[in-house]
Amino acid sequence: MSNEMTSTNPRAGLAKPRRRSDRMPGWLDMSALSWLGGRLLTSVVAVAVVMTAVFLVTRLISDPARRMLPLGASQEQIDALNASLGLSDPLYVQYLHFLRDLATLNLGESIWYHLPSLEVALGRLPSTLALLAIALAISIAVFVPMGVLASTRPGSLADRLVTGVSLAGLSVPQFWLGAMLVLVFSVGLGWFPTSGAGSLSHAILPAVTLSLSLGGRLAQVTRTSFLDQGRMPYVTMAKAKGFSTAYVLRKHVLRNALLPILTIISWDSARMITGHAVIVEVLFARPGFGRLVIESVKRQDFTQLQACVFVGAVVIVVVNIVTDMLARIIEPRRASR
Amino acid sequence: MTEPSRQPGSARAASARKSRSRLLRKVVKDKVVLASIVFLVALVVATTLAMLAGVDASSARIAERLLAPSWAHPFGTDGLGRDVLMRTILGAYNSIVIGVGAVLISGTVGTAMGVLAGYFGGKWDAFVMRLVEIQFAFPNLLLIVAVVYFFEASVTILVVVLAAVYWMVFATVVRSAVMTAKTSLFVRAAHFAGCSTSTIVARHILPAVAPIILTQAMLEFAAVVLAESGLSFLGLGVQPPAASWGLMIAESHDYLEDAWWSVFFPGLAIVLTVLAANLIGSAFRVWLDPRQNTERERPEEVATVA
Amino acid sequence: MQTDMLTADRKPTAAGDTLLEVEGLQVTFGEASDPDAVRGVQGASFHVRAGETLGIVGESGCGKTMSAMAVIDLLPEFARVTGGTISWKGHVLSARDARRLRGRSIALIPQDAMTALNPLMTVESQIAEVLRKHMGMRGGQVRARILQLLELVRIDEPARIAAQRPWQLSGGMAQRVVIAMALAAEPELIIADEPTTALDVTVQSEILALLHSLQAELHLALVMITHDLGVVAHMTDRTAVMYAGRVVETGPTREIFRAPAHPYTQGLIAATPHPFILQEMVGIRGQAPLALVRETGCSYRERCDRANSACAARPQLEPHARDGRAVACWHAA
Repeated sequence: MSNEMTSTNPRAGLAKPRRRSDRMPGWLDMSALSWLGGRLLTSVVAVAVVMTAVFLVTRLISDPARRMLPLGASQEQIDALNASLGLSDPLYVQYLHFLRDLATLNLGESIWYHLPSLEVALGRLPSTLALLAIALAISIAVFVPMGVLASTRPGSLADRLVTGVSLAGLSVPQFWLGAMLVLVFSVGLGWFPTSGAGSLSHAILPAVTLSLSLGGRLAQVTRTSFLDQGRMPYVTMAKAKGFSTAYVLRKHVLRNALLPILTIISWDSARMITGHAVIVEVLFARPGFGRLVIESVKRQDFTQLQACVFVGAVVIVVVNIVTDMLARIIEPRRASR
Repeated sequence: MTEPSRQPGSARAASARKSRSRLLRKVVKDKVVLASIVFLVALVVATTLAMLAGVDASSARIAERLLAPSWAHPFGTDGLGRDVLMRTILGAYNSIVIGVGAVLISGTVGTAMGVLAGYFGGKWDAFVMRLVEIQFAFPNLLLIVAVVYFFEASVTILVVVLAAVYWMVFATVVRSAVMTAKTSLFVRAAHFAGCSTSTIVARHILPAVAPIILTQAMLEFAAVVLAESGLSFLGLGVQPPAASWGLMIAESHDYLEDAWWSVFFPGLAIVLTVLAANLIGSAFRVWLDPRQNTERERPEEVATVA
Repeated sequence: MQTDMLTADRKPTAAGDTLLEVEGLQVTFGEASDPDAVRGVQGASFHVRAGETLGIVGESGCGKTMSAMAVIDLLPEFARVTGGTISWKGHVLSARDARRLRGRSIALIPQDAMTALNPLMTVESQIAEVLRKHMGMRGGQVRARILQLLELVRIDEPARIAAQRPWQLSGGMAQRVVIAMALAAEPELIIADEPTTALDVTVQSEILALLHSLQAELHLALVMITHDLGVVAHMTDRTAVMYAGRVVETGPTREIFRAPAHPYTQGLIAATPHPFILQEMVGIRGQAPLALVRETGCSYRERCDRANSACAARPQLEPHARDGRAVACWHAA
């Protein structure tokens, strides 16, 4: 019997002698730190790969200076610009400089704004984040309950309705949905301004537009997650212990089902900043991060575009790490795998 | 699928054929899926015919600009007097070509990577998964924007770029399906019977994961069509004067208040196409996933559980 | 009805009083009107007296788990009770009554303890919620009782185990925790659904020994659902043998093993290897059929050596011989 005492999980045994006097919270032990180290390293590599791709595309294949100058620019003008941008050096020297600048977060000056491009990119983030926050609030408030409702009676009319709505949400292009919302609520009913930024009412239609595609996924994931958890033996056991369905849902199923939902929320919102938000900001003429990206393309401002890609990659990487860390806290089992 | 245990010695091939014909019957029975398939087929036929007939929908007819839907122009005309219905049908061509192209390329690469990781495991798996992990940190749209900016947008570039973004979804899905198939009895039996690796992969693994690949291809086609329309809307996709749904909406957006039809119909085409592909894909996924099967299928399963 | 139930529940039971009685229970999968519907349980009858152990034995799919889960109204979503009565201390139970009894008077020990524990909650909090709900305990009382319960199931370091989460436990340890959880509300009847199938053989016997001694110590009634005749022989006072959704033979365990009357019971015993006696093992030919609603004859006749034209009609469970046994067979030995 003493044999049975030792757990089948070797890490569980290791984790046990942890002293209570340790100041660290329970989830932050050595294995968590080494995990975090590994993740940070991968992230740095990922950002470096992204930026290298951008470097190669900008330096190898095209001739940025020629694109930046007006059409009939002379060769002298092009050479001068190349020299000032460091583009006349050999490629490997350029790459080394590029990496050095990257490491010191010196991403050059925006050609259009004549300001540090990183600063310009970061300056546009708050507007996008605010929009995203409203969209998130809407989709969590509307679509998570819809997913839970659908999961309680699989195959029912309510379930099929929710599945249909979420699939539609995933299939509608943002720029068209936004236009239709403007047509109905701004042009037709006059409730909201058609475009621009400044007040909360400016943000409503863009946020609703954004929330539908986020929400479509959210409803689907919520439904599947609750269905999966609801069929677990521990749910039957909790009912066998004499608890009501509502109690079991609240105390047992909810926390277990939450993890995939949280993961989707944070991953998708990171992706929105560099994805759907671009389209919505262009459509509604909101001066956010996404619009900056498109403007930089139109203005041939390649240092600015470079900085935007960098910021986007860092945002995604950071959100991914934070999500996984949260997951480890919620579900310590993961840490022992 | 506990059935096989009840059919002593029945051939696997027979049961596979049975499940395939069952899938077909389900398609016919499910009106929504049937309608989706009919819609997509009709779209392909219409756009091919229009291309072959050399319909011209690009030249402007200023006298006919911004006409409301009528018998002559069922979807109305746009700001340059072009027929919206004709342009919508022609616009399907680019969406379908780009969608199919990107899915074919990303599906082939992704499946190869998935089989590599799932079947051979070890270093191969670590390598592929690391690639996937790195690409997971890619701000995809920004990267596409950067590439398209420097290469000049064209259908070929769009196909390549979109394939580069979507291969990893295929790879992860195929990888886990291959891992499951690898541990199944018939693959292990083939292995012990001395079949070569290539035979096992070609004859046993790929057929087993084929339905999953097909499902994924459907869902990915939807995603690619949506992405292409978005890029074209931003001016980074299909270039004028060619017709593309996203581009049509971008061109007509200024007339939204006066000519809703010029924005509404191309968008509706996107919605219906993407929705149809998504519906087919998710119906396949549900049918293939025994966990999602509802009431009808359950009793057989349970008889052995009780 | 409800107050009746509760007063009856509080009455002390003497050994030998019938606690649970199941009469002609039917459980149907899918639509009852569908001729192709499957009856997981078609007319099962058995009873359990206070302090005794009843073994329900049969092959996979014979309906033994379904019968037990019907008692506490925990059938899976696709299955429904479509006939028969379930009574507790002489009172017929509605589904609502069954829900009131479960966890409190009737506890469950599930098939796989590991998955039956909530992976995110500590052992302590999972037992604590039972004590709070059914025993009205609060604060320090709860903690003390949890340690007591864990000691009761022979866990050496109760404080350490109490703080752990299910995935940190071994299979045997998880099973002990689940047993402690079942005992927490001081139930009168425990339904143990294949409590050892998921465990290694050595751990299995420890758990069975534990259950056996707890049952005697605490004067519990126990329903032991198993496919293992060895478990039935060693642990139970009475046995109900189930086949294709029916009880085909029931009576004192010793008598059934000494002289099985139903051909299926005989086949089952002949097919069980004995560890010490070298004997020819005889399997039962064919496979257990799906229990279809439209089926009218004896469901064992396809596999039975004694089958004849009489078996086209279904035999009922009739008293047999002298020793309080009942058998459903036209040709009972």
